[in-house]
This record gives sequence, C-alpha cells and structure tokens, in this order.
Amino acid sequence: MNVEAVKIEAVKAEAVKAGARNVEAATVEPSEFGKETVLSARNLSTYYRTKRRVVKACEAVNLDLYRGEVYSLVGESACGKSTLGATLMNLVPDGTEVTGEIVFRGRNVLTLSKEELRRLRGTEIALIFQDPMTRLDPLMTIEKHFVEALQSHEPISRREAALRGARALDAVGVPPSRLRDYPHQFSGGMRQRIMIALALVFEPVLLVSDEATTSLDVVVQAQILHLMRSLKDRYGLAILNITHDLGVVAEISDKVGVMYGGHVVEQGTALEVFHRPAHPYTGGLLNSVVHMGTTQLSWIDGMPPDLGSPPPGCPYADRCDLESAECHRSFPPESRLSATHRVHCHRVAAGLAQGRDAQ
Amino acid sequence: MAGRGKPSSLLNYIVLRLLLTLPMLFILLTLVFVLLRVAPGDPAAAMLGAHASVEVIDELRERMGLNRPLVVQYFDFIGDTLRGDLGKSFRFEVPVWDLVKHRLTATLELVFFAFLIAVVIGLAVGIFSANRRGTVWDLGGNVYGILTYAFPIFWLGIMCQLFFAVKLGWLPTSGRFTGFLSPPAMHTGLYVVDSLIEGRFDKLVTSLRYLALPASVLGVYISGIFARMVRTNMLQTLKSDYVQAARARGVKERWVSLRHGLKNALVPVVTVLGLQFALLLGGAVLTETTFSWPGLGSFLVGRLLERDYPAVQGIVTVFALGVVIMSIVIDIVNALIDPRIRY
Ligand SMILES: Nc1ncnc2c1ncn2[C@@H]1O[C@H](COP(=O)(O)OP(=O)(O)OP(=O)(O)O)[C@@H](O)[C@H]1O
Ligand code: SF4
Ligand SMILES: [Mg+2]
Repeated sequence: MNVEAVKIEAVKAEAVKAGARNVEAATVEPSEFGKETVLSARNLSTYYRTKRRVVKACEAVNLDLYRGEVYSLVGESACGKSTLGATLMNLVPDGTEVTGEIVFRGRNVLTLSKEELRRLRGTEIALIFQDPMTRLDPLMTIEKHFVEALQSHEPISRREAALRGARALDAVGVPPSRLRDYPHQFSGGMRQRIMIALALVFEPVLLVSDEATTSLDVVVQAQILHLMRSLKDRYGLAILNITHDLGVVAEISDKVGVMYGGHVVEQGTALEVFHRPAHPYTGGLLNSVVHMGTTQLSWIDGMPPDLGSPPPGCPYADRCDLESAECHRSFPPESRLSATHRVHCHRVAAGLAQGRDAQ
Repeated sequence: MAGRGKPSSLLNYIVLRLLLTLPMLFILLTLVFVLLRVAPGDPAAAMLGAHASVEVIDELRERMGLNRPLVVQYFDFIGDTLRGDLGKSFRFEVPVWDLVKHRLTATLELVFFAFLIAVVIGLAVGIFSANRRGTVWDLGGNVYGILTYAFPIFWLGIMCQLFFAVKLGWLPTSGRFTGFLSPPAMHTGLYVVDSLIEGRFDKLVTSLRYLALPASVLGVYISGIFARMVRTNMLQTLKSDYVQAARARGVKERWVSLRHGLKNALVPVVTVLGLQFALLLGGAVLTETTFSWPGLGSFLVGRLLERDYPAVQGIVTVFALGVVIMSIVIDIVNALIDPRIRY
C-alpha cells in the first residue's frame, strides 16, 4: 500500500467514526442559534446555456452565510466556484437557468425584479472579482467610477460622491489624490484595492470575493487579506471568500466549503473540514497542499468531470479510491456530521447508517 | 497628471503623423502620374475628336506640354504640387484648384449632412438592437442594416425622387440650388453656411431643400453599415469584465449600456466611420449622378474620360489630402475618447 492509500484509509476510517459520533447531532435541525443569517441558498442550481450544450456549473447547493463570518469556498478550477458567487446576486448571463432559492435578508433574490436586484447589488451585496486588470472601465477615471456607482443608488452630487470616493480610497491605502487617474495608470495591486474601495463605499452586508488576491504578489495579498479581515471585524461583514489558496483559507475562515463538479461536497467549520475531513476529495485536496519541507508531492490522479455532461452519480467517482457501484449510480445524499458539518458521500452515509445500527 | 492629457504631446504626434504621410503622398502622386500615361488614350485626341488631323493633335500636345520628356513632366508636376499649384485643366484652361474647390465643397456639404443622418440613425438602431439582443427588435435592426446595404443606392435615390419630388412635390428632384436665386457668395463653399453668413434665410431654406433628398438617401445607405458596426462592437463590450463589474455595483442599466458599452465600442466605430467619410469624398459618385449634384466624384469621372491629366492629378491630390486629414482627425477623436492613446 502506498502512502496515498494509507492516507485515504485514514480519511475513510475517520469519516466512518465521525459519522458514528455525530448521529445525534444529525437528528437535530442544524441551525446556528444566536447568529444573524445574511444569506441562505437552498437547492441552488445554475445551468449555463451555450449554443451546443448545457453546462451544469452549479448543482443543488445549500449554503448559509452569517454576519461577521468568513465562508471560504475551495476547489479545483472550473468546478463552479465563480458561478456560485455570481449566482448569489443573480449576476449570470442572460439565458442562464437558475433554480432553487436564495434568501438574502428575508428576500428571495431570484424573484426580485430587475430594478430591485440592481438596488441590492453594490449597496447590500458586493462582489470583487479575480482579475482587477480588466474590471475597471479603461475610459473612465477612478473618480467617475465612484460617482457613477454612488449616483446609481443615491441622489448625491458629483462633488460629494467624489469626496466619498476619496475617503474610500484612503481606507484601502490608495492616495485619494489619484482619484482623477485612469485605471491603466495603476498597478494590479492598486487596482484591486480600488475595486475593494468601490465595493465597500456602500458598506454592504455581504462581500463576495472571487479570488480577489490570486493574481497579486504575496505581500499585497497579505495586505488585502488583512484589510478584508479588519472590515469584517469592524462592520460585521459576511464574506464569501472564493479561493484556490488553502493557506489563506486556514488563516481567515470561519467556515469552509469544498466544491467539486458543481456540488458543494463538504462544508463545515474550518476546524471540521481541515482536521476531520470526511469527503475523500477534501482529503486529497489537503494532501496535495505543498508544505515547507514536503518531501513527496502528492496529487489527485485524473481530471474533474466535464460539467457539460456530468456523471449521474458522485462527480468524484472516477477519481475516488473508495468508490462503489452505488457511487456511479446516484448522487450521494447529504450526511450531517454536526450542526455545521455536512458531506455528500455514499461512504459517509453508509458509515452513519452503520453507526445508527450499532446503537 | 490628471484630467485632460497633454496637448503638447498630442501636437507633436500630429506633426509626426503629417511628416509620415509625406512619403505616402509622394508615392500616390507618382502612381497617378504613371497610370494616367500608361493607360490608353491621348488628351489632345480626346479633346479634338475622332476627325482631327495628326498635325492639329500634335500642335495641341505641344501646347499642353505633353511633348516634353516624361521625366521633365514628372518633376514639373511634383514640384508644382509641392508648391501648392495643381496646374491648369487641359479642358477648361483654368487653374484646377478653381474648378475643384466648388466641387469639393459641394461634396463636403452632401457627405457631411449624409453623415449626420447616418450617425443619428446608426447610433439609434445600433444601440437599440444591442440592448435588445436576440429579440424581434434586434432582428428588425439587423434586417434594416442588410436592406439598406443591399439596395442599390441609385434605385433608392430614384424611388425617393419619384415619391417625394415628383408625386408629392415636396422637394426638388435634383441639382444643388434653384435657378431663380443666385447661390450664396462663396465663403466656405458650403451653401448652408454661406447662406447664414449672408444672412439670407430664403437661401438657407433653398439649400436645405436641395440637400434633403441626396443627403437622406446617402445617409440611410451608410446608416445600415454603421448600425451594424455599433451593434457588433457594443455586444462585444457589453460582454467585457468591466461591464459585469459595473452591473455587480448596481450601476443603472442605461449608464452601463451607454457609458461603458457604447463608449468603449466607439474607438473602432470612429475609425471605420472616419475612413468611410474620406472615401465618400471621391466615392459618392452614384448619389451625385442620380441627383445631378455637382460634386467631386462625378467631376472626376468626366475628367478621366477626357484624359484631362492636370485635373485628374489635382483631384487625386485633394482626395489624398482629405484621407490624410481625416485619419488625423480620427486619431485626435480616438485620443480624446481613450486615455490610453492620450498618455
Ligand atoms: N458564461 C458561461 N457560459 C457557459 N459556460 C460557462 C460560463 N461561465 C462558466 N462556464 C463554465 O462553467 C464551469 C464553472 O465555471 P466557473 O468559472 O464557475 O469555475 P471556477 O470554479 O470559478 O473556476 P476557476 O477556479 O478556474 O475560476 C466551467 O466549466 C466553465 O467553463
Ligand atoms: S460518493 Fe463514492 S465516489 Fe463519491 S466521494 Fe464518496 S466514496 Fe467516493
Ligand atoms: Mg473562478
């Protein structure tokens, strides 16, 4: 047995144990008392329609975001993370099919009118994108970006809007004197700060950060993470942090969701997901992180499924070492290992059932 | 650092551009000179008709200076052109510039108003279609674009003449001005402007009435292509990352569409539109012929048939200058739109 298989065995055993341990917790409706829910998504699916095919980029996702909490979403490329982030404010291309429910502070985002949705965007939910280089209009000064955003939501004079823009820039560490400059006159890191300033000029309740720091160097990355964390603490912002970087996740997250093939296959507190990963994919993902002093590189063989024709069963079945016939047949049900820890895996479900039988 | 950009750098740029166009002009003039002489047909023979004797023709050739060695003719031509002298027309025996300036301004006036119409219709249809992509309205816009482009322009012209001029009698059929009034004195050569300078309202109305049909027909014709360009480029920019980001900030959709979508689509549109304008200075022949508009295009055709070398050379020089000026105008406009060009 190689190292990999040993690790997976360990994960498997852990999962079964965890299942057994948490039978009681699973029977309790897992709501988190005392916390203010900002957004909850139920059975959320996003299907892109292209000319030739339907891409099921996001499938049956359940998600809860709380005030003052950072929820990190991790997963390989093209597994639907950005899609999920954009879907939360219904910012998907025309013709995209979104089903399910997104309740944001008591309103279902998916049934809002265009105008209601527009008023929500920016003011209450803000979105920062991965690539700051292309996200500012090259023909507009930074000041105009602020004025336009503010005037879209409030009756406010240019002067006043520019002032607020200057203050927002100052808060993210960009000299307000550069308000009249054009985007191409800034570095990538500065542009991302500007994007953040633009996102936070309204003091939103929820910030979706889609790999906001991925394209930046480590120093700027650390600064921006620090900035996000202090904003969270100061304003009680809820943050959905989409990222590739597990190091960042460990550092700032309260909750972690692992996405694979359009599904959130495992989610829970950072502690649960990192220290008691139940889904085999999570185990593989954690193992493939390169630590200082790693002597052996490990990775998961194979490729994630093509979301244009996803497999009928578990999306991870083709790469999973624990897969059984059932895994190829049906998508695994949700197993609740604690009030917060949920997993979609037949193995875990079986472990839970075993635990129940043993009682 | 902030705001407008540096005028001095723009000026330097323009001067540089002008200098760079000199070799191009030189090549063009040489090409015209050579082509005219290589093509069959002789100016003297063309002017005197089929029955003229060889002696008479030769005498005329001598007077026209065509019997001098080609090299001498060539350097004379280039030298004169550089001094701003376009020479004398063989046919009319007056300076080419005096002939050309009336024709040129007539064409300018026609093309300018046609463009005004084309820009208004093109922008309206283009923006409308782009914002309603995939709907019946969008389809209508596309059909408009294809139809206006596909219809022969003289057919459209004749139909309009029949309907608006002959049947309804609202507008004159053809020509640039009525015979009952003297045209406004030449200041700019544009009748509309010159009428205003003279302060003659009746002349202004007359000029506009004569302009209406040809300018509209030409304008509608160009507006189709223009609308399609606006639509295509806008659809492109509306897909861009900064547009999605603006939507994520809840920017009003009208602003997303116009300030981000349209404005970013303008750079390529302005470029093509400007070049189209320059081309039309010489290429509005069909419209000019249909409406007997005394413009440069139809004038050039006549001079070509007569082998009026100086006139043809002069007109081509004027066209070339028009293209050069237009491309500089395009650059300036684009620099005003796009700060990345400006800095
Ligand atoms: N507008 C679209 N039309 C069609 N398919 C799309 C569209 N946007 C994304 N997709 C597809 O949806 C799937 C998920 O894409 P998404 O961008 O959400 O992945 P991601 O997890 O954010 O990846 P990455 O980590 O590389 O950013 C991919 O297969 C992608 O090709
Ligand atoms: S459901 Fe089956 S294939 Fe999927 S992760 Fe669990 S064990 Fe592996
Ligand atoms: Mg992404």
